[in-house]
Amino acid sequence: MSRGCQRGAQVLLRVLTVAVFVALGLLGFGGDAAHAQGDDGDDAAQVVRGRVINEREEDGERIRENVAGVRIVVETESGEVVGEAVTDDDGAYLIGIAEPGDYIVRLDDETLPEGVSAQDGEDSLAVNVRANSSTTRAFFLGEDLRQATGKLGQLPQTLFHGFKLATIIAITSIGLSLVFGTTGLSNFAHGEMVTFGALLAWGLNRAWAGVHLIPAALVAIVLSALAGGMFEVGVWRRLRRSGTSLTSMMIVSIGLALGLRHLFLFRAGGDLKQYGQYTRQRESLITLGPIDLTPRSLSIIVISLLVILGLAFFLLRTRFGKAIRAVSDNPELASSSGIDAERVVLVVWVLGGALAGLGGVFYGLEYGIRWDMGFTLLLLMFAAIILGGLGNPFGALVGALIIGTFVELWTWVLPSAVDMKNVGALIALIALLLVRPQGLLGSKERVG
Amino acid sequence: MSGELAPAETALVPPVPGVAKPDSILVAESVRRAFGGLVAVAVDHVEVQRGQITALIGPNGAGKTTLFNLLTGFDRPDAGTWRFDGFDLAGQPPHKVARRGMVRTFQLTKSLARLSVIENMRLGATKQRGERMWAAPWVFPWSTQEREITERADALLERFRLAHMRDGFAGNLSGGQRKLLEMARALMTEPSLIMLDEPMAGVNPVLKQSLLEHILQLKAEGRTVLFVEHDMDMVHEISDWVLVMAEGQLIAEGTSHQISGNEEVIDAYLGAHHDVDIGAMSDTEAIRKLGLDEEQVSDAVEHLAEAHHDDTGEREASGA
Amino acid sequence: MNWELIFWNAIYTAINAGAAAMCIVAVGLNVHAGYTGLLNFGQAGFAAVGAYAFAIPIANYDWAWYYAIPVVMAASVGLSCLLGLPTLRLRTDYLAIVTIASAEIIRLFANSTRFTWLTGGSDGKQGWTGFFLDLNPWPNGGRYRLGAQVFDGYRLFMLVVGWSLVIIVSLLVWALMRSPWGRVLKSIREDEDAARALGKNVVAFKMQSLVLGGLIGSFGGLMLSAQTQSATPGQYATNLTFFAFTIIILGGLSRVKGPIIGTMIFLFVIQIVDNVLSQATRNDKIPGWMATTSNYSQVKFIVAGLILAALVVFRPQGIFGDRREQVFDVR
Repeated sequence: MSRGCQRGAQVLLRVLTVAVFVALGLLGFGGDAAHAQGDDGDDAAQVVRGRVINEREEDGERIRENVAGVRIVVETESGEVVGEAVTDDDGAYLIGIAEPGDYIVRLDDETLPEGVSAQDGEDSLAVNVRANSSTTRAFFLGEDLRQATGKLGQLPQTLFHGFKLATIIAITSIGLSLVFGTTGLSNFAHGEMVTFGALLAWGLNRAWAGVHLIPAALVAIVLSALAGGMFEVGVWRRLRRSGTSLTSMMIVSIGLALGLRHLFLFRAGGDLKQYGQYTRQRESLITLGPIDLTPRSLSIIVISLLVILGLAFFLLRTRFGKAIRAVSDNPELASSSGIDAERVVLVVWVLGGALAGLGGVFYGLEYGIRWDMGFTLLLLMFAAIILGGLGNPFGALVGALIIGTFVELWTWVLPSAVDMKNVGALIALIALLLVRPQGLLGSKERVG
Repeated sequence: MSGELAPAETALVPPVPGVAKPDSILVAESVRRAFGGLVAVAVDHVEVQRGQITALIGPNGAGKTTLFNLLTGFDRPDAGTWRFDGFDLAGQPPHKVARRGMVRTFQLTKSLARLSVIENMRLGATKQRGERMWAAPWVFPWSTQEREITERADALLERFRLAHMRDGFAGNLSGGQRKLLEMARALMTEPSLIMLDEPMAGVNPVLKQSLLEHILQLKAEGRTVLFVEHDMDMVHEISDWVLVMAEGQLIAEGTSHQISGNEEVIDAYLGAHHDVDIGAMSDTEAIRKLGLDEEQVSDAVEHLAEAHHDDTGEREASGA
Repeated sequence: MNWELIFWNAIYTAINAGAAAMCIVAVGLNVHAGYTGLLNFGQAGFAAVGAYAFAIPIANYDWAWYYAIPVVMAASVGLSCLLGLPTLRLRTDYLAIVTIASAEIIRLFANSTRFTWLTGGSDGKQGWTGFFLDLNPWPNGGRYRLGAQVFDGYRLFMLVVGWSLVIIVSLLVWALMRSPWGRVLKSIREDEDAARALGKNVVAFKMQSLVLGGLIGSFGGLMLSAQTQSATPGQYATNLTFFAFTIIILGGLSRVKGPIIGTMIFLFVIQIVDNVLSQATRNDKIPGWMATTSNYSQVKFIVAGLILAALVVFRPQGIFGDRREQVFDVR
């Protein structure tokens, strides 16, 4: 086979594989999911029951109506389902529970009627089921303004959500990218730093004290920054000095991530949490053309963009920023030109920690706080960084934009597959690696 | 050894870069490789004579290792073709190149540390039935072949004086022993052309002699050797032919004797005008010796003085 | 505190069918990471595919179990090819990220409400283990005793089947790894370029290793679901892969006995922690702010994560290995 023919065959093979991946992702997305039958409450000694109620305004009057056909699930904190039911014509449900304990009662968003969603995103509630008892939990729905317009009309709103997600991914992933650039480590525990910031702020805000979100968030950011520094000094620097290989360090980070994740679950519980301020903003929407946004979203985007601009200026213009880029490029050369590489790395970790904390608070504001939010975000972060080109912090920005947009577009194209919206981004990552392993902005060094 | 031209044919070959050889085992044409803006290799035509020891020399950054990588498939060229023993090998992956009979060693020895020395050797054998996944679990399809391979391996280990380390980990060998192992292992593939990338790098004088003898032995067996080296003594001692590269191009070739007198080669290594001692001449003499124009130089000097005065720094080099 | 039960339950957990299944998954991972140097962080995906590819034909379409076995093999090989194509020429951290992502995709797939008709969603698939019950030579309801631990006839049968499978698979791996094929894999782990320079088609060998380890992992996943009699997505979260990694490092990478010893020790330790905490929280031996009956089960995961990290840092050669036989990159 001539070389041109060989190349052609290779490209064809790659395109075919991408097509297979994409097709797999889109397969079978048609028709409604079957509704599960409710669990019988007769045999179990303890039950969880309640109602799903929709609140809306008509002619200035507040109306409450019961919502039938909604699926309710009771599960353990680690996601194991122990019972479920579908609300009847009165909007009521009854679920028998085999064992007393702490569970989470969750509303299945998929089964809600068009145009409504759980108020303030509270679609899951914690419940302590005591033996031989009946525990009541009610769900309140409100108007979901996002779905008020037609499909094409929703596009600007979707793109806006994508952009918002992209800015959050961007802030959190720059730290990851800088750590990789300066030390070569793929830090799988970075996601947990995001969760740490979000949870810490939540703790101060709701659980341990009633501190207002802004000072709570600032404290969380500072502590996240400190945590980042402590990790570097206490763990990574020592491992680097003792000659541990990068692969081993990566696995250490994976072990740490696992431990931290479950530590969070252990201490904070598995339900979805919300901050005390800025979460209910349904009444104060701002309209910019075809897009409705909450003041919260607007603030997040503006702050994120300012942070990103600040970072860009820092990396491009200041001496320390240039030192960071020098160490990323060639640590030995940087050292011999008088740059203290160790100090640069420490600053990178502290900065990365702070950014992770900030991103965590933002993510928590927009999507709620969960023990594994970091892990989900981590995959998106890696996707963004690899897409943009490993080691190039500006690549992380480009990648974040693409991934954020992709994730939200997925929900727009396939509104019935919302629980799989991250799948789209992951598939995009795999597909890109087939065609261009060095990412969009990366240099074509040996990737294999 | 030195100056001894084994086949009478090479005595008739003119020392011109890219010259054709009477019986070439490797012919490369228009090979180009650039990294970003930097051209690493730009060789128009080069041929390697069968059955001889050819050296590839040149200053650092000349593109020798890059050319090695390209020819053996470890790197993809931007352009170019080459034929080995009649087979078109351009664009072939490295393992296919090796199977054709063109085997290379590496500058930084790649002894597989956690395998034993004898296992390293057995690995080198080609066409092993036992390497097929289906045949592997049942011993009988490959046990006889394995015994033959082991015998060959042991013989080679004897020859390279590594037999006493046979069952130990390759990681326990000294640096010099690892070089010998890598060469012995490459021989297990029964190559027609063996390409050595700086075999003498970091090697003590005693071992150097040993290696030289081993390389000569390869030629006696009828194999072709192409090696990259900086050690000029070695080049003079054993090479039948020398190829010289600089800045990615093949600038000269010939016997080691012809090369050592070649101006271009010397210039490439030492920089132009290395032999001119301008300290002992007057200014005008020096200028003329360097091949420069007197008027140009004085103009330039004036300009320089002004520029220095104005605090703009733009130096213009007037050169030959 | 019933220390007898704590101890015997831990012993039982370390040797029961679940342990055997975990061991098989780890053997597969050892083929990838221990022998070939492929950091496959998506082994949980292979396990999930094995379980579902077996359960779905039987439960949804009433196939006989011996027809479902080829489906498992086909699905596993299919996943290997799909995964191998983009990843085998990438370097280590890319491979890790992509394989984790793939395993997550598979889990989300199995968990999604969209595909509940096929996979049973978050509830998983039940009702496909009938033939196991039929094949059981011991009475399914019979009671057997191990020290203070009691278990039934089905579990006994699963235990025997499981460990028989472990022995078969381990023998296969042993036979393969001492052959020239295994030698090439080990050389790839040491230095790919050296292997290439000796004429070995490295990508092909890596693919074969991926397929082999994936097949083994899939059968392990099948056993895992068989012993709980249900295939649920929760069983195949990333924790499974991390446990498998801890096990093979603990037992010693690229050792045939490694996964077996590693499984037993690891599961024993984890179960002891879990049992002690379970009883302690129930009997109010631990203050409520430290741990309660509802959250103590997380501690074992925390411990597992720390064990993995500590092993890699302090003793990468595992319990029996030689420090000189350093793990992962020697460079």
